[in-house]
Amino acid sequence: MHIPDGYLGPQTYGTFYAIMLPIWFWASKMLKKTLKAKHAPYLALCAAFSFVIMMFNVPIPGGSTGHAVGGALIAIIMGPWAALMAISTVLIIQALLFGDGGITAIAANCFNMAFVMPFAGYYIYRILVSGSDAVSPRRVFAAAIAGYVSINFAAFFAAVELGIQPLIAHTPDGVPLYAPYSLNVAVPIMTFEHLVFFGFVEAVVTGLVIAYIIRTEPSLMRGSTPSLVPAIGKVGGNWKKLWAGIGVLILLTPLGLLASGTAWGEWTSEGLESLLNYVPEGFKSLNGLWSSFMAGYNISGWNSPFLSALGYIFSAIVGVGLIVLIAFLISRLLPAEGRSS
Amino acid sequence: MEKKVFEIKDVSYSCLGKFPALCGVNLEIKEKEKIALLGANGSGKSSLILILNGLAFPQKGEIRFMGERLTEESLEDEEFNSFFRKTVGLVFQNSDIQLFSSTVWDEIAFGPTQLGISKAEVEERVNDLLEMLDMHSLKDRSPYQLSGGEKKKVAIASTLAVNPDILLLDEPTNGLDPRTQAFLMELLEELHRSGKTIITATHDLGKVEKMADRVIILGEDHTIVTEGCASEVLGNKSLLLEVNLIHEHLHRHDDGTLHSHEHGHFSEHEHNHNKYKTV
Amino acid sequence: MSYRWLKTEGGIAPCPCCKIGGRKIGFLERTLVEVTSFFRNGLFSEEYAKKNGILQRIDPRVKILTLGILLVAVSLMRHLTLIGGLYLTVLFLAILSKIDLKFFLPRVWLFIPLFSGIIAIPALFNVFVPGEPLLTLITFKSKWSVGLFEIPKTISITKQGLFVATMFVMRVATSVSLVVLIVLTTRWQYLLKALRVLWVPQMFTFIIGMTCRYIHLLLKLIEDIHLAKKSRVIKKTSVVAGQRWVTSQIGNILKRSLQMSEEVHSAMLSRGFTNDVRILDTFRIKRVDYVWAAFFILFTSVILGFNSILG
Ligand SMILES: Nc1ncnc2c1ncn2[C@@H]1O[C@H](COP(=O)(O)OP(=O)(O)O)[C@@H](O)[C@H]1O
Ligand SMILES: [Mg+2]
Repeated sequence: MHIPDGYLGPQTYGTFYAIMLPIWFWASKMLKKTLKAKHAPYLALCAAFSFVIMMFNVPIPGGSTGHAVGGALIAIIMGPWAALMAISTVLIIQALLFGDGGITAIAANCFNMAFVMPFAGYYIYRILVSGSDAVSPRRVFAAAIAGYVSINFAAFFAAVELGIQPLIAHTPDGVPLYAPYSLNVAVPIMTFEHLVFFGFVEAVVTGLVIAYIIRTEPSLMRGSTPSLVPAIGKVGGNWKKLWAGIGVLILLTPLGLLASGTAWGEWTSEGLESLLNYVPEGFKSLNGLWSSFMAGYNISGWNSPFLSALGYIFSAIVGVGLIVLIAFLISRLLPAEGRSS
Repeated sequence: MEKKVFEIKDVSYSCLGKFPALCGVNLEIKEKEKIALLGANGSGKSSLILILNGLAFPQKGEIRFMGERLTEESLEDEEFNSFFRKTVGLVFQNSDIQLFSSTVWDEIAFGPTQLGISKAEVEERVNDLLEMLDMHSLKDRSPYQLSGGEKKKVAIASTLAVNPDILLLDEPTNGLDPRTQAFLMELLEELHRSGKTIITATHDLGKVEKMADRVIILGEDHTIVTEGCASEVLGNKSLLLEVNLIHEHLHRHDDGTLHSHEHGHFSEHEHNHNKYKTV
Repeated sequence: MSYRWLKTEGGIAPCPCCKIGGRKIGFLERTLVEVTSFFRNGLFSEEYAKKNGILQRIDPRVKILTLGILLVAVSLMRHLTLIGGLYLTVLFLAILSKIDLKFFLPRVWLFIPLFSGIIAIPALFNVFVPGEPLLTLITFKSKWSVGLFEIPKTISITKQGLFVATMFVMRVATSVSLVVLIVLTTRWQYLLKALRVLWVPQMFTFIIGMTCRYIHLLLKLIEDIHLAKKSRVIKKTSVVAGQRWVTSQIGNILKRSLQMSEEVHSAMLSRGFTNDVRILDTFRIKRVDYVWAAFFILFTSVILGFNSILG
């Protein structure tokens, strides 16, 4: 799932840097505030742990083995914000030292594996266990499901990022410049292996490690260690600002895409035409949907190609928006225990 | 009369609130003293050292440093914290914990840099220490590329770089080769002569006499069993046996006689038998 | 020693089962071994970082900034010739930095580009990238569809497909070469400190360095467990038992990590760490850095200029 350099065009990786920078900034500020001087060794050790998780092979029926990414596990034990920073650290080390993932793609990779994965895992887990005892067996199943779903979320996002490349960046005659396969190829291929294989490895590891922790060190599950699941409760008031910021970013994303496109001479009017000719059939129907939706308003200049471009960007971003929105709603709906532990 | 630097009154401390480590300990430490903290494994030496370094705080009793109470709150005061950290330095028992930086050079520079010492001064200190410990060739290595003894040397250097007036050492000779051990003992002696207070935790009876003028013995019940000058305490065999610092040792000689004597766990075997023996 | 079982009677018994060397080392076991030795032998051999080449002489901050900009420039190129030119430039820089191409080329290509090359193969065909056929392979009676996509009537390698695949692989190879070049010619600790020029906070680079340091410690822990397990394995365990064993080890490492973070925290406090970290560097900008930067700015503007003129 580590996207290398050269797979994503500048519009895409630039956008992800724009998304991740405020998130990183926010997360480190918050961790520094709640964990004080402890945040440095805490994050370093959590990061070291997330790195070495991948060194463990889990046997799978049929004789093969696989390793987990651990995004959900780390988020459940350490809280999603610490997980975000710890996994980001690991991804940077992997990119620099092992060539796993590109430098330009760091932000995109962090978005998938350090943001989407732990947050999805964490909130799925919290919903499933809400109201249960800190050491009830339900937690084990919840953790397994969180592991399974979260890695599939991450893979889906990676697939979408790769799949949109031929649509947003190509030569005037429509030949893709970066990752060459469009959504209808990238998404099924990327998600398939995670749905049928890696998802289960992740589920087994997340579930069984949580079971082990419950058995041997239940205090970790109760969050009695002061450093655990830190930030959420204490800075509750600031959540609004964060989500507002992310919201604004999402709204600005299409603008950013367009603006950067023109700045680099990507989206001249002919370029836009040819781009839209390249949009696959699936998007054409979406385009139709858009036109009929907007037709009543009869805005001049909103011709069909432009609408379809918007429709396309819209659909690429809707996923991001949904995740954030869902996470936000869940965090609001969770019982106070979940937020202050 | 030297002034008191540490006053410990009726201190009790337990790890994670459930594993007792110190029970009702009273202790006074004066400037320029040279003290050894003796005790078997688990008797609470490390815990006492952590408390003296303001890293653990007793659940009961109080500890004062230069008359000032040492608590989590008092150390939150920036000025006091900086003064305390500059004055008291600790060499940890586990070097892997103490060496967290990327390179030996950064590690030694870490302390003085955090305490706001100027760049030129820090560079000078680091280079001097590298020279003193003969480690110039190691300066760009990462801690994990060092042997156990080298790590310990770096740990000692990184503490000395702060130039603390009071030096706490937790089992510093563990894992050092005899030559480096001897070097360290001399170094401590020299530091003491230059006016530093030195407190060493150890269970190495062979080194105690050189390491300390005053010896404090912690028993397995986590209390101070006795304290006194080194020769006096070390002469008391039955007491040392009682706190498990020495054990009775039986072995059979060629002539079939059973021989029994006491010795420390870690000091080298010194026998003065007339006959060559096999065990 | 008085335990009944803790004795060796009648010498070591001959092994009833195994031929030594009969079992291959599993793939991930090898990974663990490799990663551990990678960390132990220094993050990179640092052999090249110590050579007296061009890039080694440039201040790490200037190097990261300039080659970083070049990396972005690679991602902006829209012409195969320009990317090819940049690739040759990178190779030239490698030679000037006294890096053995016999080492550099395989190191780069065996990483990502080879993998990307395999990925790019299907893109040659009109199934994925429609265009002018160069070489027709199969002709069906009519076009047909599999699930989401359509298989056209004739399957052929297209001119556009060839362009896409070559462009893709060359772009990946050039980017990877650049990153490997930076990493090879800079010592790891300088690389981390120099990240400051990219506005990476000192605290963060410090945490990255510390992470590497403790990854190594945890790997050693795992290695010990691993060896212990190997020497204790008697018979093949079931999948479920295997899973339980592995995850309990992960849980153990997790507990150790959390405990260690508390201890390291104490060690840092003890040496005056408060909330923010200060790290010294010994970088100094020299004349060669100015020359390099001037040359670089000229070169990059020319390349970017060509890129926009060629459209
Ligand atoms: N991390 C820990 N968790 C639980 N108990 C601990 C821990 N560290 C120390 N203890 C307990 O505290 C007591 C004192 O330990 P310590 O101060 O390390 O002794 P010493 O340094 O003399 O060997 C021991 O009995 C030990 O069981
Ligand atoms: Mg100890």
